[in-house]
Amino acid sequence: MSLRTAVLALFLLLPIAPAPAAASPAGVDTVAFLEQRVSLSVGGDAGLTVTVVLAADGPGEALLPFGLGPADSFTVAGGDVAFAPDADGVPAPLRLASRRRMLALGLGPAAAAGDTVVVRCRLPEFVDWDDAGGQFGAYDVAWTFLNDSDLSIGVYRLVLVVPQGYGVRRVTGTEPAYKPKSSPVPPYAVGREGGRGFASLAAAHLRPGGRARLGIQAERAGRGPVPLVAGVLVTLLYLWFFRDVPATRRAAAAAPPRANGGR
Amino acid sequence: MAETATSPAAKDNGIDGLLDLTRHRLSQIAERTPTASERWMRYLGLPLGILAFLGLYYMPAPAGLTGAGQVVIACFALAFIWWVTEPIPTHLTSLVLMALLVFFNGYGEEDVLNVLGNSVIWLNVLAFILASMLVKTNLARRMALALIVRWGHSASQILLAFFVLNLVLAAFIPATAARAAMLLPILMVVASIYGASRERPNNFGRNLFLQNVQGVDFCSSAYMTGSNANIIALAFILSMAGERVYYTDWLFASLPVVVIAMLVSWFIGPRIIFRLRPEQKQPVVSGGLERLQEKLREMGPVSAPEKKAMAIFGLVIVLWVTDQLHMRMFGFEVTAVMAAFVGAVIALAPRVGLLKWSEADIPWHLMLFSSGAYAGGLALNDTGAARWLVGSLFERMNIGPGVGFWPVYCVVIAANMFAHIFFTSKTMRTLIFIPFVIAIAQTLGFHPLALALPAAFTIDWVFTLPINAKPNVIQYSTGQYSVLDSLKYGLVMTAVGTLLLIAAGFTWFRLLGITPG
Repeated sequence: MSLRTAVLALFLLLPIAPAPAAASPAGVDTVAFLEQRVSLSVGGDAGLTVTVVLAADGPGEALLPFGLGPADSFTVAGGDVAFAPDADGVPAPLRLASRRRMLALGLGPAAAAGDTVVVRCRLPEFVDWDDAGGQFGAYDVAWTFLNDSDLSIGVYRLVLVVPQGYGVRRVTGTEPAYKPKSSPVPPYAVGREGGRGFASLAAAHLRPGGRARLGIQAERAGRGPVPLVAGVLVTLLYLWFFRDVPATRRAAAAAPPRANGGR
Repeated sequence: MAETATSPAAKDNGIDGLLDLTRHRLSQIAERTPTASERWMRYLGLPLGILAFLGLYYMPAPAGLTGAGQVVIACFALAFIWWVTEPIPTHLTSLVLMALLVFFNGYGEEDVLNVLGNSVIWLNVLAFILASMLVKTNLARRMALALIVRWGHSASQILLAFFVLNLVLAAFIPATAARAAMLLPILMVVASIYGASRERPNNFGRNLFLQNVQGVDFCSSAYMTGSNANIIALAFILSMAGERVYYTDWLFASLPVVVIAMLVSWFIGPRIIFRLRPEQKQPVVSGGLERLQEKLREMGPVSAPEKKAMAIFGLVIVLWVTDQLHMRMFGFEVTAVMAAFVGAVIALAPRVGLLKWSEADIPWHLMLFSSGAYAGGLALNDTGAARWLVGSLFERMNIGPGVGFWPVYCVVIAANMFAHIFFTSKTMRTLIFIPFVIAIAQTLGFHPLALALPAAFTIDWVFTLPINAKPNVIQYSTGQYSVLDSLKYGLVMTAVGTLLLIAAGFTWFRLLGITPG
């Protein structure tokens, strides 16, 4: 393990210690880890990958907070887990429970704590790029996750992956907020993965009702030629119009002779 | 006392001219005569800055760095080169930096503009008002004359006296800008007596002001309470490493290093870096010290305005010194800025006070210079660029498991020490570096205190450039030295400090049980 990896690992763990499996005041976390990875596309649709690490053995049913808008094309993989059947007995990934939209997973008898389950789906028209466009050609994208389930989530991670050919301009806001004096490590990170830029947010011990938010500005990768042209022009003009600078003791005329001969 | 050399300045202006600080208003910018190398640096600095900007701006975005972070690094690199080479005045460079940050969407317009209202800028403005009061009432002149009559037999003695004064003041006044502002008018009188002025800078002035910058800065590292950044570092050591450091632990470990550094600087400054000519080693006043004694006597007993100035400044100093007791005394804390506020309001109050607004000598160009530097620093911090740079630095050093303690120790001390050149705030540097150092120690299995405490001792070594700390800007306002002078002396002393702390790690800190035996 390189030092950077070790340091990063340590920093990642700092805000979430004690370990996710530890009991929270509300009881044992039912979900040790939940990640929502939203891959944005230029067309406005997004691909969502939800990765869940179970903290309880099957059989049973887990209703996970979903919270996103329209979604389709669901698939599930990993462990003895399938979409839980609805009232008609048909497997249905999403379920309305007390007016909350939940991701319904049915845990088979072989499902065990520590199993990783991956759910994929499509989020049509997730971003309206025209609407998101702001100054300087940057686009504001934000996602707020509300844990409206009855489960405590040990670690919640949200990843916003910008479209190919775009980059993360800046992180505009997070919840939990970055407080450097109390916690030296920001809850967010930016990086590149498979040639695409992303920003991620980690929140520890997201209890029922807890929120996490990540706002970013995305921008087209690549820079326009204007700064280059302007820079070269200013340089050339300066070198020409100020060519006397190395030879002229300009201030000498303004200042009286030195008392002690300078140096 | 033998007759000392008399400079043309002294002949022209007489001793009263030398002692008249109202003739050297800080708010007026006097251009210094650049040397040949400075002129070339000015000429090449501008294209070099633009080249650096373009190179960094157009390079492929590195992993882990936001687009805004990349822009901020590019803008800061341009400004940094321009601040050092001075192709345009430093305050104008700051304005260019602020504009570039906004135009290239590196930092928000509001964030950039708000920097002028930062407490750091306020403290500088208020400190200059208080300093103006000392000048107007002649209290500064009296204190300077008294100091010179007592210690000013030679340049060497007076330089040492100011170092010692800084070391003593640091124990009581944690606000470094406050200390710098207190000493500023006195330093100007002393410099003038030794023939140094803004119009005619000489090596005595360079030594005097740059040694005071160093004194104010690194003397803070002698005491745990020397600056807020020290306290923040200790808070990290406690929260991340579970180690409590007491006042005396810090004092016993750091004070000897500071004293040795002080003596080294005092020795090499006037002898090697800015070598004093024989005529610069004595006051340039015709009649020598006797004449100055005479001038002190002529001032007579302390006047009523001087007493009032003493009372106002004394009140501010008492508030600065007792900051830790305020909660108990008043139920709230009077910060360094608000203490200066109280003093400035009284000083400017009609009838009660001593100053008219027009008499307050505030170098606004320096406030703009500071604002630009802080805006750049804040932008580096807020965009995560500074953290990314530090992380990349440690990554490139390829420190991994199996590396011994001492190579890591040397790298950490050198990196922490030299990094100050690129930071505009001690607090930011502390917030970024100290957690990294603790994490490195924990990852490699070293005792965190062994790396983190010596690293914390480097926090206050911030004297290389005027942008690096508040007191630096205050002293730079005198125009007695160039950015290049500051860089030259600062780099030498940074290297000295690094070597001293490394040597202390092998010896003194080991004896104290901080570093492994």
